[in-house]
Amino acid sequence: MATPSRTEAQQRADEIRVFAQELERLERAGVVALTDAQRKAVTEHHQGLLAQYAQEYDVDRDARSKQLSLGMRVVSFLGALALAASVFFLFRQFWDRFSTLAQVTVLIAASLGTFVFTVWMQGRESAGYFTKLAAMVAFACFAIDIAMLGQIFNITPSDMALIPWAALALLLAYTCDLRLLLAAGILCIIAFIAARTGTWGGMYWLDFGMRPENFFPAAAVLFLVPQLVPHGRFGGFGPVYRVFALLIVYLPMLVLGNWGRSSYLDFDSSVIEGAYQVLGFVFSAGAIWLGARRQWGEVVNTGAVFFVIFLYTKFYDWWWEIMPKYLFFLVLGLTAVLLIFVMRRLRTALYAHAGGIKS
Amino acid sequence: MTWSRTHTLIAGLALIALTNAVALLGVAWNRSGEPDSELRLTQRELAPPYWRGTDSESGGIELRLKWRSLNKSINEFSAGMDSEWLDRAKLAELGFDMSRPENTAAGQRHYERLSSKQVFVALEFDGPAYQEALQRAQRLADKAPPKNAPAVGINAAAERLKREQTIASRLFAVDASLDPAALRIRYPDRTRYAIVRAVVRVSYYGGNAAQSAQLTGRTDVLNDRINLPPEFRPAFESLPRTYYYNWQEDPKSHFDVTLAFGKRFEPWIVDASAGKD
Repeated sequence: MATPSRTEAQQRADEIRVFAQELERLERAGVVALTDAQRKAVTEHHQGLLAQYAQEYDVDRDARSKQLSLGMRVVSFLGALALAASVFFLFRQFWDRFSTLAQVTVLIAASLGTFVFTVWMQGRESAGYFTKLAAMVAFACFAIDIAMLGQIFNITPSDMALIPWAALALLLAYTCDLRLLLAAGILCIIAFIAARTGTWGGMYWLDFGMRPENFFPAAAVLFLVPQLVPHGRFGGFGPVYRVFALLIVYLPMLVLGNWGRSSYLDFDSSVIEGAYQVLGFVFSAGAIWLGARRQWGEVVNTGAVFFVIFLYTKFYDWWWEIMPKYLFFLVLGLTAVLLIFVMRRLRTALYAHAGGIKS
Repeated sequence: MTWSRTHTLIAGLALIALTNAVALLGVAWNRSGEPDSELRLTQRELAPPYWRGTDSESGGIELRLKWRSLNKSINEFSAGMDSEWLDRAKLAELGFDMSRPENTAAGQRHYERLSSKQVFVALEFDGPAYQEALQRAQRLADKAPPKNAPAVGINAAAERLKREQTIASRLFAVDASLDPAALRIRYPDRTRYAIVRAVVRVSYYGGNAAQSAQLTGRTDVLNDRINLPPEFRPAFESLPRTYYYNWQEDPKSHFDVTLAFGKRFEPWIVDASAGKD
């Protein structure tokens, strides 16, 4: 069996706990009765697995320790932010007392040192709290390193800086199983692809945000990554790619649906706005359908949120001025109720299609 | 092959080392050989940041390059707006499609959608453009002032002339091109003309019954914030901690800076000293 990641080990531990609870209920209800030998075999197998996971990954064995772990993750995240800020302000406080050579040496040494420390820490800590903290500080040091080299030597800003930032963020994210750095890496990739798209369109790279359509190629790439690259050991990473891909489809569409002048297309603004409003509905409804079919909860939720946003934006355009406010909000509320009915029907239909019991 | 911690270590160290090496080699290449241009500027053309006096953790000092363009308003503060030389023909030369009439709906749509372009701009120091600005300020001061014109203050004609003679920047953007070599042929004096990277955008102002639509170009110089190396910091120790619009009149705030531009048109400070006057 392949070595599981910490996420997978934690998931398995949770499943064992749920299984034990459900088995107890079934036995009490007289649905099933295991022999003593079977019960002993199952219990020993599960305890062996849990002991192994606890030793190798420091997984949470019960609900209480899971809650405590969540708290530790939050503290670890806040600690990483504080440490990264501390590094930044440390540099600022004493910066002009160093010679240029010392400044460059400090920047490079900080990047290398924090990275080596992160890898060293990873080999010594099973739970990963301190490793994750160190990984975020290492990424912050590298980002500051490149940004400050640009400042010290007056280097012309370039989108090429986004590539090493993305590479190190992804390397640390996959090494330390860290979704926050995955998000940082994805943001760098989005900015780079959008900037390149803008440059190919003739514009200065830092103006890529002026044309929201620049984000669409990045959305296609991000959506395809978890399809083309197997993410078996990194269960939570696929959803992060898909959510970012959807965000950089819907947000530009939302902008273009209301401000057609920012489009590349040489049509009348009202035509562009209308087209993107329709596309917004089609893509968000499509995401709900696709997400339900492929069991991607995050895709369903993101699609549903943006479907409602597109709908409410349209309602605002049509009725805000002409309707009494109580009636306007009543219509919004009733629409939400209608959407819940529609999504329940969709869920039932998909469940039946998959061979389940109709609810 | 199983990805191990050793692989991570090697990949990460190589990435960090390679990125820093590429950045530093680029700097070395920019500064190698004879600079593309070298200008001797003063506090009139370089300004410390306004917030320096209030932020004790501001790190090093960055000097902002104060450049201007000749425009209708004779305003020393309107850096890249409405430059007279950045007309329709120049914008077309820079690759903007300026062929459509601007007073139609289709024309408006076209010009509002024109993307920015990265170009090269020639900055002229203490040359004909500055002399022209001086003459314009002199003519304004010689003319009888209009009834409602302010007699004192920054907008008074006499004050403008005085500022133009003593305080205002003498660094003017005078031309742009997609090809830096073509600009250098047109402006061969490397102690008076620096070629810098810049971004040009087309601004469209819709017309009305009284006035037809206006098309203008707007320029933003990249790398206009220049880091002051620590070795030159003593020359700036006596600078005032707070700034106001004519802070350069204070003799304590005078300085001289030699600014070089290299092969990649990136600037650096070659020399800096406290001003003599």
